[in-house]
Amino acid sequence: MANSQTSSTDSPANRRALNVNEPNINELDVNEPNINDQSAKAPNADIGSLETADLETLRQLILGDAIAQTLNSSLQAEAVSRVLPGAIAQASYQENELTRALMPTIEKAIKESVRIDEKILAEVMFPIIGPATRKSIGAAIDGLLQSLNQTLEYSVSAKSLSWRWEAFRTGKTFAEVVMLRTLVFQVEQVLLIHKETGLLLLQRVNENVKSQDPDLVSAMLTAIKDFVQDSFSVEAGDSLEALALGDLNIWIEEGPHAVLACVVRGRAPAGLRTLLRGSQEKIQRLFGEPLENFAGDPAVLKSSAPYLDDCLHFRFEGQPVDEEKRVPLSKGRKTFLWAIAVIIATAIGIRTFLNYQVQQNWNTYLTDLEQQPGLVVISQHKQGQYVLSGLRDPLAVDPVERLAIAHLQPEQVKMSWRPYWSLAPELADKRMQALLSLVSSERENLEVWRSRIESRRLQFQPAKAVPVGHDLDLLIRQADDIAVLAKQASAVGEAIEITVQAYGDRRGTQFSTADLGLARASYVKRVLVSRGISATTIKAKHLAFQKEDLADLRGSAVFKVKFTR
Amino acid sequence: MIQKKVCMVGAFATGKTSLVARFVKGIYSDKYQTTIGVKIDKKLIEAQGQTVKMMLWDIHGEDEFQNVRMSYLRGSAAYLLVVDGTRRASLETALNLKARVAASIGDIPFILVINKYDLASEWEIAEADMAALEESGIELIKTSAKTDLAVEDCFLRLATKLVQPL
Repeated sequence: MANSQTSSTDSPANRRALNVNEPNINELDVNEPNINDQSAKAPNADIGSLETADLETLRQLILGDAIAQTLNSSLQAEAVSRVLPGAIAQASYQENELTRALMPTIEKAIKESVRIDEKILAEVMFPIIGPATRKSIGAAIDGLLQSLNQTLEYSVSAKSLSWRWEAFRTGKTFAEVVMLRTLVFQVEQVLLIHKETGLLLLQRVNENVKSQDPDLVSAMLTAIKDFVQDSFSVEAGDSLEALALGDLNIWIEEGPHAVLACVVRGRAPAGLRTLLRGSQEKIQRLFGEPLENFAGDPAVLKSSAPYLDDCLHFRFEGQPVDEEKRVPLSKGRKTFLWAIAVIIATAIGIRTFLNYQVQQNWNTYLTDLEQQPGLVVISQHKQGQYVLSGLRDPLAVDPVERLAIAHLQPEQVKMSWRPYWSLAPELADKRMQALLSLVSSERENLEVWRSRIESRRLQFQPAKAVPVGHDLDLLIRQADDIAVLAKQASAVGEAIEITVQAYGDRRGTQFSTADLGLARASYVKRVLVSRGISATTIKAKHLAFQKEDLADLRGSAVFKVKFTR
Repeated sequence: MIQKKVCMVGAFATGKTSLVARFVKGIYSDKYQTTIGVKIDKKLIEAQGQTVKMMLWDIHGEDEFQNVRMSYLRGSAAYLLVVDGTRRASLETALNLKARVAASIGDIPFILVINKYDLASEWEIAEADMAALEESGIELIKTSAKTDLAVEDCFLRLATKLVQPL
């Protein structure tokens, strides 16, 4: 930085100042050759001191007043010019009076210079403005990068974890690694082109890149630039800065007299633009004059090659160029890496052992299932969890329960069983017993029906043989229940016999009550037959009322059920 | 070796591209292809014991639809002003262009090339006209890109003009 500042002060501005002074000296030389001649002046002074009055007279006689005055003023100007630098230097040690006195003149001079030709001052300023602007923008971007870094710190994904690991391994910041991994590029060639003619001044190409004729490329690039600038209304001073074609990019940096074009494959970081600009400025500073007076001989720009090479070999800061350029690991870091490696290895070991154990348990489980009657494993495989399918007799053991024997958890196995009947002797016995128990339960069922039927009692109106209202409904329900019972009994190989016992009324003669009871029983039988019960299974009886019988049995009918084989 | 930018300037279909093709590649095609924008070629040429790398900017012809962009001529060391001998109008266009070039980039060397000499019988530009042009100080040369008449010569003469000041 210090170097570049030093070199910037001794170049174009100073040179220009010298050039400005030169014509004045020349003018003096032409008008008054003797004045500049030191050897001629000394004897004159001697003579002057001796015969000043005579010489003055002579001068007036020969030259006349006007010429003498001109000579005098020239002599004075010359004398002032000798003391002026010293006087200014001295004045600058004192108060700011000289500065104040000169300020309006200098301001006017600058204004006038810009008015006449703004380019001159622009060219002088060009090498200074770039670095100054970059410095302030650089500071802003640093801040931005820092906040980007923080943002990235919080994002977690597989990729970011691997980048984080890389950052840790290589000792770079995370943001750097992210930039590095997302910016893959190569600078293929760099061209220095004369701005006005489009002629190629210098080309540097990467070894493994096949390039087109650089002369034609330079000219065409200039033509394209001109075309774009002409075709679209752009601000004065704006120019084409980049061309993009797929992943091929041409970055153009324009100076006052030269154009630096950089052919890049991939996505280059903004740092390359900064470098390009810097190189452009350096080239302008060092080769400004040959560029301005370029007459077609590119040899004058040969020594600008290092600046082009800088661009050609540009890499993103921290991009791994060679293995040996990687940051060596510190001792502490190495120990840490070893510790992590050991932890990972242990974790893998434990995991493998556990997997092995689970597999052993699974094999045990399969062997156990094979020994169980009524279970047939058809297929089994492992897909995250174990998957098993097969046939299962409903009487076989529950395969889920068997998991516990093999130390497996139900969630470790996904099973699907299809039902079937096994002919294994153990199961056949079981099945037989089950059937037998079913039969006995059927019989119990019949008893339930019987007791229900026998518990019902029909009540007749006095002197009536036909029940009415509720009792008629009851009779029909009774008939239906008896029909169900008959059907169920026949299913287990039984037959039923129904006895209808009807009573006469309390009043009446012994015979008349017997007739009424019989009539009532007959009516009930008829109803039962009409509801589908075989007449042969029904006996209709009249029961004479005995004294010990409950009084309310009078005028009613009851049913008795008997099972016969 | 020095490099020079040289432009081909003229009305449309006067044979600018054909002259360049004949000079650079030694080929000629009867098929007319209009130039859009600019085409660039280069050729090394020996003149006055010096090698000159000529960058030839073949600029699209001037016609009623588009004017020649003077920005393409910027930085040009010399130019060939090409005229179609069979079309008198192309001479007027050329002289008009010459004035515009002089106004925008200054007085740079040029040679007036009257092309299509293979069709000499159909020429609309009389010998007297050419003599008058030469008298006014314009260097003039008759060429035919088709028959390769004086093509190299016109470029060589232009190159000579370029190395003379050195």
